[in-house]
Amino acid sequence: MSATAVSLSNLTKFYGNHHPAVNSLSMRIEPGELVSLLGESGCGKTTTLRMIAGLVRPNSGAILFDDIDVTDMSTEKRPVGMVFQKSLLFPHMSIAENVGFGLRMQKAPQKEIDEKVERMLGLVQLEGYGSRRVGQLSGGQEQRVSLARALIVEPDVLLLDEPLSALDANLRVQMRDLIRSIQQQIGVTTVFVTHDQAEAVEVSDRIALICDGKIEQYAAPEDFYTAPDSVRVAKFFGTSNLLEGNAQGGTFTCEFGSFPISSGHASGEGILVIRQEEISIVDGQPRDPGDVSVVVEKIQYLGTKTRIWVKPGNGSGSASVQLDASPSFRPLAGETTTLRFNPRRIHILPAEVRSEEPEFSEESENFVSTVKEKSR
Amino acid sequence: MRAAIGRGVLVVGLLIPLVPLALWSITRTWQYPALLPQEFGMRGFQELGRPGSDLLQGLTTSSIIAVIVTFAAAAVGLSAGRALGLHSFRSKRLVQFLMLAPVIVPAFAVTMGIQVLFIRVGLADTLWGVALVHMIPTVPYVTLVMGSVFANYDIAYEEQARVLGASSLSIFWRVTLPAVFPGLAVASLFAFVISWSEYILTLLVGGGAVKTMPLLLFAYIGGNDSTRAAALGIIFIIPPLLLLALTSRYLTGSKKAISGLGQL
Repeated sequence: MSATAVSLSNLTKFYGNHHPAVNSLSMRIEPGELVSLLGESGCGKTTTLRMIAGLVRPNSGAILFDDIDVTDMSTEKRPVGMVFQKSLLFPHMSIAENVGFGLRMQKAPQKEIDEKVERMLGLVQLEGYGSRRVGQLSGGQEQRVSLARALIVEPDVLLLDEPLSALDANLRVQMRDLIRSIQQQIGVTTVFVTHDQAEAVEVSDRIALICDGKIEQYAAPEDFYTAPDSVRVAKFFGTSNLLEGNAQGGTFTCEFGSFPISSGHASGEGILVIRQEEISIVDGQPRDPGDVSVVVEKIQYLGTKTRIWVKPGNGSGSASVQLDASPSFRPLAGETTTLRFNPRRIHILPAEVRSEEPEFSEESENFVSTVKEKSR
Repeated sequence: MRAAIGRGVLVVGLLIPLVPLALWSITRTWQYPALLPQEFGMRGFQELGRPGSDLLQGLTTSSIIAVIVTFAAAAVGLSAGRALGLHSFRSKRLVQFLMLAPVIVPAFAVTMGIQVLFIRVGLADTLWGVALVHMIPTVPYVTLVMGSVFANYDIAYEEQARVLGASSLSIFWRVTLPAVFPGLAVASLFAFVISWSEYILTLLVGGGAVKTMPLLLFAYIGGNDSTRAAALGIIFIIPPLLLLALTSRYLTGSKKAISGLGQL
């Protein structure tokens, strides 16, 4: 079986008549790829997934599986498998009957169903559980049954709607690894919805970060750390060092000093983005270009690391940078030390991207304007 | 211990009214001032079993009507309860109130008007007319119970089934119905019992031509033969009791489905 490509083109969905839940969203998922739709709750990621499944009809736009337009195809005819947040095992059926449900709907012969059910239960490491009742399994096992039930019909596209969020932390890691290994084993094109960026990073080939019904960035997991497209993306992925300054030639100047950057960047105002783990502490005075002298503002011991907040060495300015150092490194507040920003991990964003602060989302502006209209 | 006493009181309280009935049904002679019957015998039941007695006709008519009403009320109540339990829509409160109105408004008042209408359309004095008018007191109960069953029902099960390739019909039979069956069984029991014991509506719309068990019972009670009336009374309560026994596992324990009655 060769895998299927999924193309979404200009998908739009309105609930009610004001703000679109999904706003002209386009993306292509390559055959056999596992793509995560990542975003905060209410960003439109689940709606997008439900549109791919056919459970929600888009207001406009198209969904293609390879070259076939499935936009108007009813859910039950679409070649998709889906695992929901809750396992949703039918309580009046045994585990085997649950797993075989999709094949029974296709009117497959009972012998074939039995064989495949056994094979699918093996795939999710639940051999011999077929005769059990639904209530007799743990949450993780139920979710594995749910996965087996989705895969037994050999779907072209596997849709996972936060399948791990109801599980506790340990199980979540196990289940995540199992999903990834099964997905690679059978090579099914998979869309995985999650709000947990660590989860997305660990399972995905690519991630689509969705904000306000639009794709903010669609790239390999690594790029979200090293080359975010916007301040918003950087913040979502926990990058807290965003320094405003000026790019000129091969140098970026900000309150902390000057840093060499690749000359490809346009001159003018910009924002320097660097992750806290790409800043290191060097002994002694600044030596190389990119070394800066700083004053420790405060520290926080986090067990596996020490988080340090620093201010520029000359004491001026409001800029602050945080970095993670070895847990044994415990400077005192007010101490002076030297930092080195990893030159290959300095990323420059154009300054205007800054205007897309989540605090000033369209939604709140709309809200203000509606209130004004009403008060008139 | 206190719970046991409470349960005992409840059982005794419910059963005491049935004791004289049971005694009367097997009495041959019971004259003042004797506390208990002086002579026992099965005369009442024998007379009812005799050819030409009204019993068989009464049982048949009552059963047909009650079964029709039960299925029809279950169908209506299932749909209405689903709409009320799962969806929110404009003027839902109003619809809810209208569904329950027959429980509040005396059916007697409404039936006078209905009777006139039924005479005009030819439904008066017919079994179908009686069955139809029995829907008035039964549908609200089924709707109430099913409404609360569906309020606790997760429609995502249906979406899951649909993704697995189930048609709407398969979803209803294989997913929805099994999930709500305990509630539906209890609600249907209510509908059956209400229809089975309905007197006024049957009398008004059936005009005496449709002789159900309650009509017979009233005739017998007026007929001065307490033994025969008591025997009929005993037979009268058997079918509901049998159904109650069949559905009792849905009334108690973890699967209990009568929480909807709390809304009354």
